[in-house]
Amino acid sequence: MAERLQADPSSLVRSVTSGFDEARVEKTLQLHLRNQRRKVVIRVAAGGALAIAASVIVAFAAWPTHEAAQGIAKRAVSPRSPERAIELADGSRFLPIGEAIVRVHEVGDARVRAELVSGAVDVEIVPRDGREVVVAAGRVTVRVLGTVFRVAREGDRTRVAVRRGRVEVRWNEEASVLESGGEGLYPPEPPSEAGAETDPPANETRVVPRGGWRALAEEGEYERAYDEIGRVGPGAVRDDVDELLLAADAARLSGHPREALPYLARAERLAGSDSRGASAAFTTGRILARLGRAAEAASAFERVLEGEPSGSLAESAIVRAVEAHESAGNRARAAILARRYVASFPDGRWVERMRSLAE
Amino acid sequence: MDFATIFRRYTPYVAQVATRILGRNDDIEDLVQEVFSEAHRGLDTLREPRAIRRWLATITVRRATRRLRRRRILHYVGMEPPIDTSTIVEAGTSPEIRAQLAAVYRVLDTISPEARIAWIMRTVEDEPLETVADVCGCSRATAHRRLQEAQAALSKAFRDG
Repeated sequence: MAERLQADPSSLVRSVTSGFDEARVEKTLQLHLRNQRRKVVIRVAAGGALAIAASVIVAFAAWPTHEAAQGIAKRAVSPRSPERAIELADGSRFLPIGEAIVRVHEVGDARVRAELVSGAVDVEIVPRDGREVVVAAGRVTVRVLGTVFRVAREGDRTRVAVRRGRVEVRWNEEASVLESGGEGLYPPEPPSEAGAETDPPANETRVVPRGGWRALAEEGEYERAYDEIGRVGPGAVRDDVDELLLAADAARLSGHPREALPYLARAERLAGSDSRGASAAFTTGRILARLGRAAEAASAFERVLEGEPSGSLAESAIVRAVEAHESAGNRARAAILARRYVASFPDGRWVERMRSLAE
Repeated sequence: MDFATIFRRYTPYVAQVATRILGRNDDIEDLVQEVFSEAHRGLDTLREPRAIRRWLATITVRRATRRLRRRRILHYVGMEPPIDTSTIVEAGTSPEIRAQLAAVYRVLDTISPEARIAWIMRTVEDEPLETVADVCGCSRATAHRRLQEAQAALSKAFRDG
């Protein structure tokens, strides 16, 4: 059976590639998140009967007063959206009401950090020693240690109602503690005139539906999100790095890469030295390269290297910059960067190719 | 690091290791989903961010081992699909290289899944023997023995293996 190979077996197997590019990774991630949400719904449904029975008992035995939560519940026009519930590994949950947008930015042993972008959310936190749970809502921050409460955006202010436990509400330089059954609207005083002047005009807020394109994009419905941005028009996307990156995703992943470029440029400018700036520049480079604008693509990839010379995107950015410079006919710069790759990543995946271009 | 960031950063690695172990990519997406579902559940238990890659490798190896064992059963009953290396190499790869790659996987199919994985992790992924033992859930000596088993099979099949 013995035969001679042109290369050793390990080199042959090393040539195997999974074919997972960034678009496929993104698609798989969205699918994964959708599946996870379905599992949460199934878990909620399975525990439904028990939960209803238990909640009735607990309502009478442990929560003598419910005025606070009921107060907000009366104002809420939409029911909870269990299919959009965010459940942490320890059982803590964020339950958006209706079309509310909730983002969980950080989940760790020391801290959980979430943001209520719009609408209202019920939060159920499982107590854990030494862990801080923070929910930001506009100008207000709610700090938690084991509790059940609701946070609702009401215009420029935020209403907090505690059903069980204790929370600390912070705004500007002030703070207040709400005990079980307590409710408050924060900041307590109406916003200052200066603050009111910075609010968008009433007609502008009316044309953007609650949840709107952001909720669609976060669900992976990029085409619908892109259409919604177009329908709403200027003002649909705020000058916020995360929001601009989300809008860029909606554009490029719905087949409109050119339209993603202005969002990415704004995000890169706003992010500054933040790692999201490098991410925006990298995506810009990829789009420009695909559009055949090689020189501009090379410039974008070089900005990644300037911003985060040893960041997670650095290796790919050098290779792509080299390829873009080659395509643009700038061989001298390509060779300089190829040498930089060989020096920085001597065991890198593209080292042989870069070595050949460096000479 | 949040879950989506971990997913985006490590999915190419998980998919690559799994494809190299299995020698095919027809259900790699499912395997990636399984790996990250398990990872999702245990995310809070991981205290050392630098251990994420190794942790994901361990889950990947475990899942891939199950698939290899299932394939061996299918092989015994003559139901295993034929090797098709065209989907796991770059489009421009020559027919000779593809044929030789298929020959390597044919040999790997004759040895135990554990030996195959030890060989891939050590000689293809360049992991130190300690890491190979760790992700395979065995001692260093056992990992070494499995590696020798794979090397012996490949050397027998290919004069320069």
